[in-house]
Amino acid sequence: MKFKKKFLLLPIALMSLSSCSLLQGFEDEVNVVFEYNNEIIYSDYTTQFRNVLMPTLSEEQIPVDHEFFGWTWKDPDTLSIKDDEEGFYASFFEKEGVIHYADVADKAFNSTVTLYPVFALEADIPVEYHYLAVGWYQKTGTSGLNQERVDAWTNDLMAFLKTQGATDEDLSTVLVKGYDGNVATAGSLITKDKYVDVLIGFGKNMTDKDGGGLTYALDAKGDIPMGGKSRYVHLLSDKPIARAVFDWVANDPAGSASLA
Amino acid sequence: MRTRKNLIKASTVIGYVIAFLYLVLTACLFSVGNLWYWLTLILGGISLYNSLYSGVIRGKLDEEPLEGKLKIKFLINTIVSLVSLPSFVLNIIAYFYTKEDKYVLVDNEEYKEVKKEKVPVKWYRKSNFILSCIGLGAIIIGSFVAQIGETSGYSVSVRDFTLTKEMTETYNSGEENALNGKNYVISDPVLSYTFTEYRPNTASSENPLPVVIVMPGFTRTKATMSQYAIELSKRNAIVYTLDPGCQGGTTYAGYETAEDGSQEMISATTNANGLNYLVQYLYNNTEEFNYIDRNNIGAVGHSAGGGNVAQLAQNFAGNSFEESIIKAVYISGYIKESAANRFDDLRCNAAMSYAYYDEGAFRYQGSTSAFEVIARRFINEVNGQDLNHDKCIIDYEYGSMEDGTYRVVHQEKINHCFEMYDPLSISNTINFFRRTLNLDTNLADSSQSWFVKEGFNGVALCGSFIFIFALMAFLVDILPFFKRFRENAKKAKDYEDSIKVKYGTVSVAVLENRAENGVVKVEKKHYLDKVTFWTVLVLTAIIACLDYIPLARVSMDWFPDAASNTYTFYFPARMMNAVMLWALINGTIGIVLIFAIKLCENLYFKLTKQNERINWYRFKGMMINWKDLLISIGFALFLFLLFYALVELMSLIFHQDFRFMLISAAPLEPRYIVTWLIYLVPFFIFYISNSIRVNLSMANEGWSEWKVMLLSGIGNSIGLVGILVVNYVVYFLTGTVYYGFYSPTDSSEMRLYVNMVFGLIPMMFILPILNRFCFKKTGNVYFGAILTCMIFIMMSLSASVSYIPM
Repeated sequence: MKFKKKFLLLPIALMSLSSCSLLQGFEDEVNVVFEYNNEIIYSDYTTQFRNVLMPTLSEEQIPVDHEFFGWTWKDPDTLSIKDDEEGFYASFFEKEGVIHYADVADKAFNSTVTLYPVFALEADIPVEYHYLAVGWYQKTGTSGLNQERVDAWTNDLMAFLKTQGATDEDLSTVLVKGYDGNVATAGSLITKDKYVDVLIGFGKNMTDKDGGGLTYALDAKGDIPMGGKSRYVHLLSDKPIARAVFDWVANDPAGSASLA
Repeated sequence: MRTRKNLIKASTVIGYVIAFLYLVLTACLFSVGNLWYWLTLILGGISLYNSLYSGVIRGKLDEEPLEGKLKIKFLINTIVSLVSLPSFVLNIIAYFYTKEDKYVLVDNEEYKEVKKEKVPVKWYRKSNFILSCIGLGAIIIGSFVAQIGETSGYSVSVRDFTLTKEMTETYNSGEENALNGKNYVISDPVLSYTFTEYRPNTASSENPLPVVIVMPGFTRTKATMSQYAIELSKRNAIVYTLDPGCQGGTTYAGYETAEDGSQEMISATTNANGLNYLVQYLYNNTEEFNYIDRNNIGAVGHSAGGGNVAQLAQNFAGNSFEESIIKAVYISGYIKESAANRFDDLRCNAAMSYAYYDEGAFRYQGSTSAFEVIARRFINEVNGQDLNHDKCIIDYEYGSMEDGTYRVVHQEKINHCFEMYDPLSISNTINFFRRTLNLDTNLADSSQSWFVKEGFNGVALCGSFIFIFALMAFLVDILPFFKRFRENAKKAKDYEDSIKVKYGTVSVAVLENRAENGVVKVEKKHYLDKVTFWTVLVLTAIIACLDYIPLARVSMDWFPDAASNTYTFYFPARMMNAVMLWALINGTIGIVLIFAIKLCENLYFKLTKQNERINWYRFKGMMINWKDLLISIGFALFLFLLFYALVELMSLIFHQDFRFMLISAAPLEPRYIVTWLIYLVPFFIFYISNSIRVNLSMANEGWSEWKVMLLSGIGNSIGLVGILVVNYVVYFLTGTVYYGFYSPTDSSEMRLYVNMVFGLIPMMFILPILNRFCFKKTGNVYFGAILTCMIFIMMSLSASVSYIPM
């Protein structure tokens, strides 16, 4: 039979289809090793299609008075939050979640990357800057506050801050953050954040000695109507603007009108 | 001379191949955002046009030796062919080749071919009639064997039924019918679900068998999950598959009256996409379904169906494994946090699988959404407890089946839409239900036969096309009614043959009206003709590749109701809207280009006083009188109805449709007929554009017929192939598909539109071939376009979702 070019079609088609499997050759693997105290506590591999779960450290593994931030590919002894905050925060993966291939592909040596835990002394951890930070009790059933009320109050707050001389840049750093849970939980979170200046919506027990919440407050005032309930405002920091806001909420009806 | 010409020919062919490879490389580089793709595109173009010119030079060697100006041109051509190194080597050899051949070909002016007289053939011996019989035979045999496959050699009875509001009112309402305190009753009478039951013959009231509910995903019908039904039913499980809301035979969910008196739309996926209604109905209808083991009900779902079965298991969980109505649930291809939040409420054995190459994984890479995190939750959050496993080991079995705490996670090396057809994935599903529901079987999990039905449905599908088109050809050949079609076809053929003779593709003997001395001067195609043709082909392919996803995005804005799953008569087929826009734009571009180029060409000839070369055939070829047009429409409609009559007949006799994997021809439903009418006209522009392109342009290049068909098929589908190349090269390099979110600032998901391309490519490849076949029989470009438009659009719609309120 005379050879015709069209007889080449089928083998060419089959070769083209089977060449699709070559794409699998692009898959690359990086071994991720988690080391703690010179000991490998966990390892797994990641590819473009597979992530590595981060191991959790127990309370005993975290040094006292230190906070655990995550895992770094650098020598942890070279990282200092006190000396180089920006470099510090840019040098680790968060402590929860997964590590992706793209995170470690350029950091691997011989297809392996070793990660070390990153700790920082709690006292060295800089306080996040806010012109003003207000914490509100997000447990609506207790505080009477919900997001809608707080949003409306926040608008009033911004207007008040402007009358106190706040610039646009100052206003951009103002934080109004909700804290949920019971008094102990909320108190623990507020203490950890360190930057909260004023609290609204909590009760007297927040700073009671036996209340289980905060152990400090510079001032407090109750009987302020919030969401149909009678709640407190607490002053936590000695910043002048914090004092001004505390007085505004505590003594000026306009300061709590939107919260009522 | 012959050896030199052969060397140049080899170099030309290799140059074409390398040009193609450059284009593939361009697509790859484009997909990863590497700007070198411009270079490879240019190199590919140079290789292509260089090869075209080599062909021109090779043609000239018939008339003159390689000397003087021709030699200089060849030298320049050889140097340029450096972009394609093998071609360069061959060209160099050809350039320096000096050995004289033993024989030299000359035109034989006195050659006269003896023409065979055509003997009239009886109608039953005509090739088209025989072919249509073969097609019909393939349909019947294919459907019959598929039925054997579906029923596992008739050991399983398969039947369809519909679940209506009335049925759920009887068996699902009232306290006495509550399951774990819940009642699920269809509220709007317009809503009805279509189910298929696979009942092993061994099932009876004395021998009730376990039940498995099988749920397909978004845009899929129950037929696409038949492989699970076949494998589980032949292992003595009763299987129920259903069509999700607004898909297949299931209607829309209707409306309910809100508190303020307004009519609110009931979501198409209400109540776990109908699973709640079905399970409660089956459970309580003890008279009719006295053969099901109510203590052994399981469910498996893929993709969105996986979410539905998780919801089902949660809805009927009760407070313990003993109370749970669903004893085993298999969640495939679905790892959204919303489903993960149900894990804690499950009171049954559970398995999860997520394809290793699932294209949708890019959405789940966060610290709470990644597969590894969800898998860990899956094995830990069991019966309201947290078991504290550090990580999930794939394929490892956790817990115990006896107390409903069994958990296992699989991750087969396949992608999302083909996971349902992966033997390992199916084997894992079988294994799970076999053990958790105690199926009475000795069959190995890997011993599968579902592909028999799949394969023979494919045979029936091919047979249906062969039958319809062969029958068309036969009827046109023999019926006096189609006399004008035959005359037009002959005129078209004579014209095409004259071009083939002009370019030397065929002997002058094929022309019936040749000159007395039988000599016709053979011409060589002008280089500019070739450049124009190939440039247009490549350009339209690139446009078709690049504009599909942007047009899919536009379709979300132009058809917001369908895009947001809201019932509407205004282009209600959400996924088809993207294809429609693509077809409309590219079809229009094709028509404009075809005629604009010819106009410019004729204008050039007029200005250069080459009036003998002016050709208006392309424009005349589109002309048709009203009678022929009406006959074309009527005949196409007849064949379309005949096609679907066959589908209905096979469905009635053998319970089979013509569906092969993602390409479907299912029995007609009223809602799809109305949807089809909405989409016909916009799509037709693409189909007529394709018919013009292949019949009035490509067919007049002087090529042999198989080349015309092959090139037109490739030309029509290569753009879509390019989309897959771009998408999957990036995917395998980075783990994220190229067409994931639309852009960094637009999180609209585009991957489902890429999924559709898999089913579109074979249809786009075969479309011009069918158009060509129809044109050769009827001599008009409209008939084939109308017929293929009707059939292909209905096929596409029946395999998709439509939010038409019917």
